[in-house]
Amino acid sequence: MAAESKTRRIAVVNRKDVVDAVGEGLRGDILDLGIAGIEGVRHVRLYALHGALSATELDRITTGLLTDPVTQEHLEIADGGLPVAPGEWGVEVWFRPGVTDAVGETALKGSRDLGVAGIESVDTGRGYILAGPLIRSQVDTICRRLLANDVIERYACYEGGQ
Amino acid sequence: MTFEADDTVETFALLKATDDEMTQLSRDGMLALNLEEMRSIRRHFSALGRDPTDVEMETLAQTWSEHCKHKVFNGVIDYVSGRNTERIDNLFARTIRKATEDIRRAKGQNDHCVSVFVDNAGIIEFDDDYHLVFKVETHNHPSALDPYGGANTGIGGVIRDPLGTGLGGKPIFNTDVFCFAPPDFPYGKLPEGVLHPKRVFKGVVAGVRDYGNRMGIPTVNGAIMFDERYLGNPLVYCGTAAIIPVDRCEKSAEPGDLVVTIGGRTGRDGIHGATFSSIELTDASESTATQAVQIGNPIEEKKVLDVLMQARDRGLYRNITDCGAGGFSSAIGEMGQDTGAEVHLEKAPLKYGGLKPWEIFLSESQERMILAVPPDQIDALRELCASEDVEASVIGEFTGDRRLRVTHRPDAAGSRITVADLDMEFLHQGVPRIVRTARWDPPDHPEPPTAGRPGAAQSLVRLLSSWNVASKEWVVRQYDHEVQGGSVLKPLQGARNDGPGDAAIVRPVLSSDRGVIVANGINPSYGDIDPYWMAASAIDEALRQVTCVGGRIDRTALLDNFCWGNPDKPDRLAALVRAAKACYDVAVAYGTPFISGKDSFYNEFSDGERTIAIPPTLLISAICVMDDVRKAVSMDVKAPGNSIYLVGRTRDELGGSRYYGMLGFVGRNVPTVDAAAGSGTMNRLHEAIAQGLVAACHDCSEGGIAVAAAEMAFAGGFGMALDLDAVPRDPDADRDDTVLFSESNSRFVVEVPRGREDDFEASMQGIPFGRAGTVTGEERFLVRGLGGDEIVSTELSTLKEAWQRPLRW
Amino acid sequence: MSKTSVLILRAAGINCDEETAHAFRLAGADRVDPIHINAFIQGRRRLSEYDVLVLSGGFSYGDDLSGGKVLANEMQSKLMEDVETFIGDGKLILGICNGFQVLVKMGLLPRTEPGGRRQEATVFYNDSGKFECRWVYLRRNPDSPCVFTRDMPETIYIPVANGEGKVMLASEEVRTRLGPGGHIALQYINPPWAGAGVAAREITAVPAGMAAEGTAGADDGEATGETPYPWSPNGSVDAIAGICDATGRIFGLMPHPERYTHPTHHPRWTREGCREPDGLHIFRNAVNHVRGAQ
Repeated sequence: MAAESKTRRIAVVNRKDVVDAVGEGLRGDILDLGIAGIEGVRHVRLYALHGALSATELDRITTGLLTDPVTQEHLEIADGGLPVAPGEWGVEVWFRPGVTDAVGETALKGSRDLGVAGIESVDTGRGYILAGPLIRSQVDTICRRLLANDVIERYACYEGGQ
Repeated sequence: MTFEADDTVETFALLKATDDEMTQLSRDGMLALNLEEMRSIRRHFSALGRDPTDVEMETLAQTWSEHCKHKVFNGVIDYVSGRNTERIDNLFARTIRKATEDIRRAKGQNDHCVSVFVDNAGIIEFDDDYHLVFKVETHNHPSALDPYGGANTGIGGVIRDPLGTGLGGKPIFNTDVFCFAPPDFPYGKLPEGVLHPKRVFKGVVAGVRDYGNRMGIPTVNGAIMFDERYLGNPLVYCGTAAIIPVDRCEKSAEPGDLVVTIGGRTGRDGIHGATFSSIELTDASESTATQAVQIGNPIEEKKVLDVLMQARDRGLYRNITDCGAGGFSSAIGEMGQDTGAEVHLEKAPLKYGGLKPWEIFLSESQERMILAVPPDQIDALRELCASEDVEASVIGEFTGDRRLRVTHRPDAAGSRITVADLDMEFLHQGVPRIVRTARWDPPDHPEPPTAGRPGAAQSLVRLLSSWNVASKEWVVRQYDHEVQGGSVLKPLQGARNDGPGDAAIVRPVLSSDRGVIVANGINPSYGDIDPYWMAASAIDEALRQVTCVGGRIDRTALLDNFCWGNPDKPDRLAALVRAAKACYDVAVAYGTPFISGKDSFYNEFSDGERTIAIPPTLLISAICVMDDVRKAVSMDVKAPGNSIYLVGRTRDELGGSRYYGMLGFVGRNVPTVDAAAGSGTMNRLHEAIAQGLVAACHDCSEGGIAVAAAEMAFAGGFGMALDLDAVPRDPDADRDDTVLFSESNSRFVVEVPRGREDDFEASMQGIPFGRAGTVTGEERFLVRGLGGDEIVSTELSTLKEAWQRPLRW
Repeated sequence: MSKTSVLILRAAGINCDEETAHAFRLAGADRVDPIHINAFIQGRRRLSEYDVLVLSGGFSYGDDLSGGKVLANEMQSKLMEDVETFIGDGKLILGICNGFQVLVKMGLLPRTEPGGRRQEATVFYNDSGKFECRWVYLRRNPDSPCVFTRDMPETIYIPVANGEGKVMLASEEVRTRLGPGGHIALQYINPPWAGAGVAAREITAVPAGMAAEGTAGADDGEATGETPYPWSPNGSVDAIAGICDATGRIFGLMPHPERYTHPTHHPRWTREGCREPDGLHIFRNAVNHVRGAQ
């Protein structure tokens, strides 16, 4: 049975015992902003795969291409569905339409090399899971000042456990 | 995958428009054309009896933009200074270009220029097989809005300049100079619409890093300046040098040749980039300029580079240029200037559907080059490109009618729709010249009181810790400065590989010991007193650095990059006139020609209440050919017992210095340049280095003798004992802090091996020099003042830590 | 004496091909061809023409998904049979920087069992969170079967330049196999000025039986990663800089030996003088091995 064309969102994160250098760097930058409540930042790579993919094909892409078998794990998420625990904030940043997404094009090439013919395109984004007692206005400041650039990107932030 | 364009073409109702309506049309369309220019266009089309299409208007606006036509430099300026008014008809031709012409004439047989000012980059001689190509560009406005993407596409763009010079140069290194507001600027004082300087800094560095490193081009040289006036307008200078076979420097396009686009696809990127850069930023720019900002794809450009080098060597094309500002319109308009060209827009591969014809023609999508390909070579070119996954498409041909004709897909009846039909002559020569007024009122900044200044040791530590002087290792190590395997002198030098080198040297031909030296000079703070001496000092500084490592100024060429405020304001324009005049005077006196350059105006930011202009900022980049890199010298002291010499005269010239800046003052006595004396000093020093009489050499710039000597000591890991009384100086340089921190030009701190002092002194006869100290085995930096007292006695580790701490991020 | 043919495999974003080719020429290789991977995928050229396959440095496909991943994936999907034949013929494979990442992600390194295909290690983002371009001291493992590090001084000095150079292993069990097999051919060590006592732990061959009893290599696991940043620039486990497979004929390293093939490459040649460049050893060993094997 042919799979129907749709969008599957994949989040790739470092395993808990692996240093998250990007997240650590951002934590320092957030402290620089004067937001002392930040306790931790986890960096998430986001992929939106568009196309008709069977379960096997999706697994081939996510396990074989997007996730490092030694250091990372992945999960499929809904739009706005980063795994955010209560007391944490999730932030998703995606390019605005038309902005060059070279990583997306490379992911498409890699998927096709794997023999996945049904893949049509790939968008990439970045996710962040912010831990610490933060309020929405602080998260907005973090997004505007550090994580996203409104000129080329759109972002969404949401509180865990809501 | 192919995408369909939108067919809509509109006409601008110009023939019947009033002046007010034309002004409105220009503003609403982001055309950046002034009324005089709009009238010119109306006259032209009135004679044709029709209104212009949007493709034509956009093409004219783009071609006539300040960014492309340099209307300020090429225009007419009434320069008022005191009671005198001087009419300057074409400042560029009368200063920068004239300097090169005069120098080349004077050098005669020894002229080493190959191609100046005409191509996308300047070319000088290197060896029997290769010439050297060099260009520096700015990408300021986009970097203000998106530091990462702006810097990314800045470096990507300047790499395409040498690649689009002659029949294509192979890049050998990048150089990057940035100007930011201080990274510790208070968040609370940040105006609306402005990104924090620390974010700008990190974003710009990441953008340059990710593009340069991925392209496999070493970033070997640079500088970072800090001043609060760069808050709304950070400056991002990106430069690339290349080598090109000596028989691949000539280009032409013949009627019948095919117009081929190669590399990236066309999208709605960077629309209005050229006109955008001719407009002042406001707090609304951040949201209105979306299309002007984009992100680069270095791997696409690397693929293009790889196939172009093969195609060039196989002779598959006759002409090449990059798609920069203005995209196809400017690349094809310029390449076909003498022949004429017809472009079929529907043949251009698009990133996505829905682009209108004018958007396709004006798009500034990155990583595209335009080639003129003889019809009998197109199959070979296509096959080569396909073999390395590079897209190449024929989108038109060069004609013989000297018109720029643009057509879109055939209509239902099968006939092509002409969407633009412009006379090349009008397109390139029709822009009216503007007369501007420049007014020079010399500023008067008080000198700081002499009482209450901090002690010498404390001042030295504070200067080493200031943003402008502090170590930039955090930045340097993020750039791959070793790729291509030609590194000779790295940006960081010394016993622990962490001292600040003056100039970098690379060996671009791996089987040869011939090298290329690159250096830069920039000191915007002197411009607060007099932009003339700022420009003079920038040239002197770049040449000093070349000299320090073993280069010679008669084998050196210069690039000028002016970043200025709004030239419609007479004081800004007067500063430009003064700087340009200095460029002529000093370059001619040193015999160092300008081979290429660039200008960027309107670097002013308005938040609705006040306007902040950047300080007038001139970057001088120097490039020099070195016959034998094994003669090179680094700046770190080498061994205890060696002697330290001060070469060049120290004057009371603390105006605009870092020391006065630290005290909160600008001052009056800006460093001047005596180029006759300076070139004597540099030539002699070159000879001494070539004879092996110099163990280390460092130029005195920001922070003067004190900072230069301290850097040499802690980079080499050995102490130094200096006696200020032995420093050659003017009588009025009679204070310890003046001698230590004055930034007088044409000065060097030189380490001479023990036992070679007599030879060195003999070689410097007639040049001001003094044997002012020794390298010691103790790890302390000692200075004896003019009165004989010890005024500095500081551990090297203290000095080094002060210098390294600020940017240890 | 027979000819030595070296293939420098090019691909989108590979950018150290020219200087690597130059290094092999200096080392005496008779034929060095930088050729695009498409020529092999499309059958216009054959790997079997060559004695040494080199994956040089760069950013293949931008390292967009992770360092070397997409090129590794492409080679696995489209060239693996030819690569296995090449290995089976006793030929040499060298991966430098990005090429090392590719070999690890193809499962060709550490490959403690000939023919194994599982990816048991990875090369991950530097602990420092940024690209690192700096010179590093390396110690060779005298007990390694690696043919590329066989004939050279105990320590060499060459540069690294990468954002993803941290070697990590899939499990402690993998680690127990590396030491006895001599797979860790090169480790980062402290520079002479950083003092003794904090050098990377010795990795020496131990009888297989000992490893099987659960000891982690030559000495206890506590001693890992003792070369501190920045001398071990990435945070690699056991300060690993280079790894070979069980045969010693497949070798990869993060540092760039091709960037020290001329005396003026050394960062301190202006103070310490010109000397024999350390990087050449690795290329000479490869060329000499091919000559000896033929």
